[in-house]
Parts: sequence; structure tokens; C-alpha cells
Amino acid sequence: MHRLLNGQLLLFAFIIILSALLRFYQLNKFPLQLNLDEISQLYESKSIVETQKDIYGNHLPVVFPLFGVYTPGHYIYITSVFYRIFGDKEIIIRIPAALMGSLTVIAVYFFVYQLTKNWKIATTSAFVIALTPSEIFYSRKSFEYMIGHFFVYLGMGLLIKYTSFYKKSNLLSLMGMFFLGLAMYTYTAHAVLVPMIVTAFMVVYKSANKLLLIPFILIITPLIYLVFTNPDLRIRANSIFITQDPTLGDRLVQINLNNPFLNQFYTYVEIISHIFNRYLSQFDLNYLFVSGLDLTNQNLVGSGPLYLIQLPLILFGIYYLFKKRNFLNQKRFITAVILMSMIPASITFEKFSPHRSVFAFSIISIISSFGLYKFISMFRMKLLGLGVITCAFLLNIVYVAHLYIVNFPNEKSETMHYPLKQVALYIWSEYDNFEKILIDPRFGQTYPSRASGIHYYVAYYGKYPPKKFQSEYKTDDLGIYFDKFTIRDIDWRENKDQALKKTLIVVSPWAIQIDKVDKNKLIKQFNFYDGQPAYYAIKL
Amino acid sequence: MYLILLLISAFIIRVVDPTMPFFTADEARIAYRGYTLSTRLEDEMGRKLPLIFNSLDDYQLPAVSYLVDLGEFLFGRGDFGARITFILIGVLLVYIIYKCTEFITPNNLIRLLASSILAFSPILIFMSKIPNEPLISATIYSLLFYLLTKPNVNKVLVLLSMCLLVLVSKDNWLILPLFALLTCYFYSKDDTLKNRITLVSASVIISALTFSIFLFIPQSQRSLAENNFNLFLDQSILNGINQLRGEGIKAGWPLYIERIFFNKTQYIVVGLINWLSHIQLSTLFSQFDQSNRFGFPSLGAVSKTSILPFIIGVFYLFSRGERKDRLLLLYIPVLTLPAVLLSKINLKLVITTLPFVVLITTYGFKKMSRKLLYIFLILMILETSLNALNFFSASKNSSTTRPLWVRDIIIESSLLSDDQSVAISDDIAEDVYPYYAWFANNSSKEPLNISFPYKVRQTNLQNIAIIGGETKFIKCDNHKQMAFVSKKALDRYNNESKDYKNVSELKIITTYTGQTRREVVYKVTGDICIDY
Repeated sequence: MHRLLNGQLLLFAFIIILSALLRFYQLNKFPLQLNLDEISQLYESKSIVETQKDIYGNHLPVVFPLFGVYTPGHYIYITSVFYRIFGDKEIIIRIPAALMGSLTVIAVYFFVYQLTKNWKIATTSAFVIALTPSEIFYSRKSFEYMIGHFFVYLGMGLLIKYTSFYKKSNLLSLMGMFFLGLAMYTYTAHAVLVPMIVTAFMVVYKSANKLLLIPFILIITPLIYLVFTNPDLRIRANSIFITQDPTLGDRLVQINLNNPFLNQFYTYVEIISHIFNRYLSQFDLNYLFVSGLDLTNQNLVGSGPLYLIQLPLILFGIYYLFKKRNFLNQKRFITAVILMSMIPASITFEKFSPHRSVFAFSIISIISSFGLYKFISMFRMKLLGLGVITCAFLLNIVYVAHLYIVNFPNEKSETMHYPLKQVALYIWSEYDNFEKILIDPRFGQTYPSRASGIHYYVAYYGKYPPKKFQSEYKTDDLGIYFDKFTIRDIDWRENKDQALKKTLIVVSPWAIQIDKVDKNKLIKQFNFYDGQPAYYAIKL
Repeated sequence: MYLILLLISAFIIRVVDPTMPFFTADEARIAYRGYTLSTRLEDEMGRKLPLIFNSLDDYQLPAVSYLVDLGEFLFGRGDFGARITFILIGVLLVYIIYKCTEFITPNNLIRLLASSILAFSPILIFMSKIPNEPLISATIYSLLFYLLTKPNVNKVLVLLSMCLLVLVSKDNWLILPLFALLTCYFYSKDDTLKNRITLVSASVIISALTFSIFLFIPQSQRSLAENNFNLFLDQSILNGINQLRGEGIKAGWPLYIERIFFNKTQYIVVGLINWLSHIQLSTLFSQFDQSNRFGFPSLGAVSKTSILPFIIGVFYLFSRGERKDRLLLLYIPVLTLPAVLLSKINLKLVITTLPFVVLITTYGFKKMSRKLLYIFLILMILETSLNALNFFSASKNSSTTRPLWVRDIIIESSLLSDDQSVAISDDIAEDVYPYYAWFANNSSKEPLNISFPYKVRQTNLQNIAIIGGETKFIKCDNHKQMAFVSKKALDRYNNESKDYKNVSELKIITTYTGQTRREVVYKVTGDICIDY
């Protein structure tokens, strides 16, 4: 940092402003509206601030059950702080991730500078990270991963800085271990990745004091304790583990060797083999550069977590990395980190889970920044090189921005749970006109999935007091009940829900044939962003 | 001595249980064609010694069919005869690669280890047991590489290899000139410039000539467009462009901006990424083929353990290798270049690259200590043993593409058809006709009157009627219909029965289960017949 003077400082300030701008600009508009994860965490933050309990009445829980998805609570608690500062606003749920995403640029600068001792490469890395699609995308959607993401870079930077001194500073190493340990509390993917990073560091940097592991273990001891004692965390871990993958399940069923020991043995072999396969498939080029960000439904036209222009730069970067002299430890460390970074996504049930690989994308992006630096320095006329690469980057950036702003809402409004906000606002506007309000949880553009957290939308947009919600909330096998709201499957038969009186029913097209409904009873239609019907409001 | 042991092991592992893997419909067609060529000098459609054959996907070039013919001529009709040529080619490839590694290292242990990767490659073992193009291509490219890089180039053998290569696969028409150029002009500069130019020119002429002749064949352009340039026929790309562009226009963006972002350059991106996807580690070392056409699930093209020496080899060549050695890395992109014109991965092209993957791995071995080499050897033996032991369980997963259970049904229905009419659902296998021909010698007796049949399906099986989606059912006249039907056809059959009065319910005589123990086919009898 001490080298950041004059022009360098200006350049660095520009990168930070650019990074903040890309993460904060119109944060309330893009993504289109709060999705289920966001709205649930926001309402839980509100509940914590007002009652010190979650909506189910648990006092300051470590893990929040939310809508059946057990989620570590740090993001909710951080949002609570912003709730106290800014009050009840939708945007506050997105601020922590956007903020930490912006700060990650600084942490990346710090890490790369410690690694290369070259401010130009570090600045290039910070610049590339500021622009990387996956970084921007996940910083803007209140993703708890981003908190730990910042800590991982900061921790790694501190540890490498610690090794660069002849007389080792224990404070630096302690801080490094502290931040890395802290990251493990923020997201399961970090909890898997960080111990491997620490191990790689210890193996590569032989001069590092092995006693450093003691504070690290001390920091993560409470987490280990929680994992073993908190059943909710174990449920969460089991529910996303690779054995939940149906493809693997099909294969395991076929193992039948008439010997229980051999069967068990081959089951393990098949699982390990499946993890290995999945691990290597995370480096699929189509996933990384064309479709991985899942912004569109067009399989071959879209955007990956990295820009297409980064593909040749990555090759340049690898070349630079392996040609660079006096760089052996750094080279080994960063190679190990790249190889390990895809492991968290490889042990889960989804074929691709980009949200668990954000760190991998960023570290690959850093390699591309090495390539960018090398590419520009290859040109005798530096300005020409800069011009060429700027044009290429600009084209990529605007293309992805277009996909994000224009196409993403059209193609994926369902994943943002659009228009549940509109539904919630509408039913509150009709609250006094009905004795009962029924909401159908079935929801979807192409097939009926279940929006299992609709009660969060209803409660939040109705400004329903969390304390009252805690006392009113009831649930059974059929649905969720509070106040005059019932969230359950609609049974649209004459002697069933059709027979209800003074009731507002919000029903999805998956539950009724709308052309058979009396037009006078149909009082409102809610569409997905692309115009397809999502819900009908019917008065009875 | 060790080499002989290795070659014998490679042969044994390929020859054990010659009935596995079960043929796909297309492989059964080629196997039967080999039989007709060896006995009657005509193909399965009655054409005398043709050079272009029919299949349901594309025209087939002659090399594969005539090699099967050779095997069946020598060893008779049957699984062994149909597969033996490919088993021998698979072993030959191991030997050629052993010879090629002498340019890289004199260390015999390393050379044997490198060759053993191919000898025990799950996919190459698999491919050595079925009639296929990529194994032949891989072998000939390896042979060409060896011939062109050794000090005295045997021009006759080189030219013969080139001629054979262009008769294996259409992809080779594009690859061969580039391969020859890379090898003669850049990789191996030992020969005189004149000789090198001669060889490269010969490859260009041979490829161009074959291509030109092919263009005279009816439907050749369709064949090329559908199979070798299918990127441009992929509607999903065009639909994607139009859809995203439309959304932009709807949102108020100017048309020219939309045209800048979403236009036909997307085809280049898709083609480029598809091409590079052929060089992925996941394809080579983990999940090669999910469709079971080229191998069983979760098997890589080569053993998973060889990923480490391969990566070391790549990085060594990339960062420290000599310029000539580094060029070896270019063989993989060159051999997969036709994929730039495709929208999906073509695994046949990946198989062709395997010998060169092994040569790169050899550099990795060179950088490993002797102790590590032995560890690698043990791990590879362990992995191969595990794969071999799990072979039968894994084969169950190929129940759809390689339906082992079809054989019994085909034989039984064919025997029954000697005395009565039998019906069979067309959806029990990809194409039942070749299975009838191969397992029951039951084929159309009338020769086809088309010179160059393209995607032609023959269905005349005398007493055996095929139940398709549009087949009509009628009430039988004083007899009962025997049928072998899938679940879907059974339901349809039952529904049709309801339309007739005094018709008894269908009687299920036998239920057949597939490799996965699921019910797949029902042998039924009833009063409803096929309307021929």
C-alpha cells in the first residue's frame, strides 16, 4: 500500500469507485425484486432487531430455519445493523454483500501485491476483479458468501505478507489466521475451502511457523462444536451433499456384487469417482464463459461467470505464472488454491453450483489479470495494447450488462420470485374486503415449483409486526396460517375451495383452468416479467 | 519381454468375453454387413462391394465395414469375428505408441508406462471391442506420426496410411492435411524440404480428391451439413439470438444495438468454445461419455491416475520444453479442429487425440522420480482392476443404448415368426431391424434399389410386423396375434381392444426385464391384430 502514490493512488481510487458503482448503482432495481432468500433474511433481520427472536420464536439462533432451508445467521445479524442505521428499507438486505463485494477489490489488491510485489499486477488484478461478472452478480444479490470471500483474500494476503519478512511478525500471521477462520463461519463452501488453503500455505511456505495452526484451530473450534452439536447444520450439510444427486443414486442402485463388503466398497468408490468427475467438470469452458451465470434460458447464448475475453488472457496468465522467475512458492501456492477452489462445488448434489465457486472464478480472474498485464507489456506501444484490450473488455462488459439488465429479468423472473411482491402488496390492499385470504404456493413458468416462503413476502410487505407474526404463525401438513392468511394448495372443485365465501383466493394457473372461472370473480391477474400469467386473484 | 507381456495383457483384456459390450443398433448393422460382405460380397442392402454405406445417422465410409468383413471372413460370423480386427488394432495402437515414445525418452520403464495407459484405457478397451471409426483413426495418426518423425521416412507406407485414413471418416479430410503440415513442416524437420513438401502436398491432394469425389454422391451436401457442419443447423442458437434480441427491442433498445450484441458471430463463439471443450480434463480423465455409446458412465478416456503426469507434462512442455517438443501440444487442437463446425462435443474426435495425450503424459513421467513412477503404476493397476471388477455393474447403466436383453427377444420372436405372424414394438430399441439381421439372420430378401442409401430404414421382415406410432390395429380373423411390446405399446394395445366388442383382454405370457431389472418388454397374445 505504501507505494500507492499520486497517479497510482488515483488509479486505485478509480478502481474502487468503479467497483462500488458496479455493485451499488440501482441496487434496488437490479435484480428486479427481492427473491425468497433475500425477503426471508430481511424479515428475519427485522424480527431480530424488534424481538431478538426469529419468526419461529427462537432466541438469537445461530442457524435460521427460514423456509426449510437452514441458513447460518451471520448475514441476518449484519443486516440487522444496517436495519438499525437505515430503518426498514428493502435495499438494506443487499448492502452487506455489495459492500463486501466492493471491499474485496481492495483485499484482492492486497493479496496480489503480497504475492507478486508488483503494484501494476496488483492494480490490474483489482481492476479485473472489479469488473468480473460473477463478482458483480453475487455482490448484488445479498449473497452471504461475499462476506467470507473478502475475509479469505484478506487472510491469504496477511499470511503471505507474514512470510515475506525475514523476522516474522506473529501479529500478521494471527490476523491472517483470524480472518481465514472467520470466513469459515460465513458459508459452508468457505468452511470446506479454508482448511485446505491453510494446509497448502503451511506445505508451500516451509518457513511459516507450524504453531500458527494452533490459533487457527482455536478460532474454528466453536464452529466444529456447532457442526457436531447443532442438528440443523447437519441437516443442511446432508441435504446438499453429493449423495443427494439422483444420477449418482441411480448408479449406486446398480451396484450388486452379492457381497455386502464389496457392495459397500464399490459404493464408496462410485461416490469418490463421482466427486472426481464433478470436480473436473467444474472447469467446463462452456460453463465458465458461456452459460455458468445462468442469466438466460438460451443454452448456447448467455454469459459465464467470466468474460469470454478472459479465456485467452487466462492462457497468457498461466504462461506468465510459469515463466516468472524467483516465484516458486507463490506459483505453488496459487496453483494449489486454484485447484482447491472448485472442491466445494464438487461435493454437492448440483452438477454446477456457481454460487459455491465464486472464489474459484475470482482466482481464475486473477490469473487472467496476470495475462492482461503480460499482454499489455508485450506491446511496444503500451497505449495500443491498452486500447485493444479496453475495446475488447468494453464490448464484453456492455454485452453482459445488457444480458443482466434486459434479458435476465425476462428470462429468469421466476428465479427472482417475481411477482410475489406485487401479490403481497395487492392482498394487503384488499385486506379489509375479505374474511379470509388463500394463497397458492405453486409457482412457475415452465413447471409448478413451490414458493415455500410466501409468508415472508406477505408479512414483510404488509409491515406485519414480527412479534405478532411469532404468536400468530401456525403450520401443519397442509400449509401455513397466520392472521387471515392461509398458504396452501388450492383445490378448485365446486364442493371444495370454490364453495368458500368472503374469501380472496390467489391461485396459480397450475391449479385452475382460468377460462372456466366466472369473469366477474377474476379481479386481478399477476404476470411474470415476460408477460406469462403467474397468479390470478379471485374473489368468492 | 515386458513389452510382449504388456501387449499380451492388452490383448487378453480386450478379448475376454467377446459378447461385451453389447452392440448398439448401428454396430449390429455393421457386424451383419461384415457377414454379408464376407459371404456374398454385398452389403446388407444387396449392393455389390459398395464404397459408401447406409446408417441411420450418416453415410458411412468403407474402412470400418471392410475391416469387420475381414474379421468375419477369417473367424466366421459371430461376436468374435465382428470384433477381432478392432481388438488387434487396439493392441497395435499400444505397440505404435511404445515405438513413438522412443523419440521422447530411452527409459524403458517410462515407455512401458506410457503404453500401458493406452493398453488399459477404459475407453480404448471399450472401443477395441466394437466396430468404430475413431480407433482406426487414432491408430493411423499414431502410425503416421511415427513414420513421419523417424529418420528415414517410408513414403509408400505413409501414402498408404493417408489413403486409408481418408476412407475412415469424413473428419479426416480436414484433419489429415493439417496433421501432415504440423508433423512434416514444424514438428519433424529431419527430412529434406522437398520431401516434406511432397508429403504435405500428397495429404492435401488425397483429402481434396476424396472430398471432391464424395461431393458427386447424391445427398452428400446434406450429409456434410447434418453431420459435419451442424453448428449452422442448430436452431437453438438462432432462437437464442432472436429471443434475446426481441427482449431488448421490447425493452426499448435500438435495433442496431441489439444487432451488435446478438448476431451470427455467436456461431463463432459457440463453435470455438465447443472446439476447446474437446481438450477438457473432465472428458479425458473423468466422465467421458454419459450416453454409454463409447464407454460406461464415470469412466474417463484414460485412467484417472494419469491426470497427474499429464498435467506435469503439459506444464513442462508449456514452460520449459524445447520448441519442437512444445509443438506436441498442438496435436490435440489439430485433431479436434472439425469440432469448430459443430455445436456439441464429438467424442470420436477426442478418442483420436488419446495417443497424443499419452505422448504428452510421457513428458510428465520423465519429470517424475522412479519412486513416483512405481506408485503411479500401482495406482493404475488398482484402478484398472476396480473398473474391471465393476464392469458388469457398470454395464447395467447402458441398458438403453446397449440393450443386452434385446437379443433373447429377437431370437425368440424370429423363431416364432417361422409359424405365425409376430409383432414387435419399434421402441424397444433404437432400431430393431439390424438386431434381427445380426442375431436371427432375418432380413429383407429383396435388394434395395437405391445406389447411395442415406438414412434408409428397412422394415420388411416377412412374418414380423413392426408396431410404430402410426400402426393401426384391427380385430383378428380366427387367430390370435403374438406380440412383443414395450409398456407404451402395451397401453395402446389395451386401449385399442376396448374399441371392439367380444374381444378378450390381452394376455401377458412373459415379462422381460432389462439390465437394470426394470420391466422392459411384454410378450402378449390377444384378439387384436396389426393392420398390415
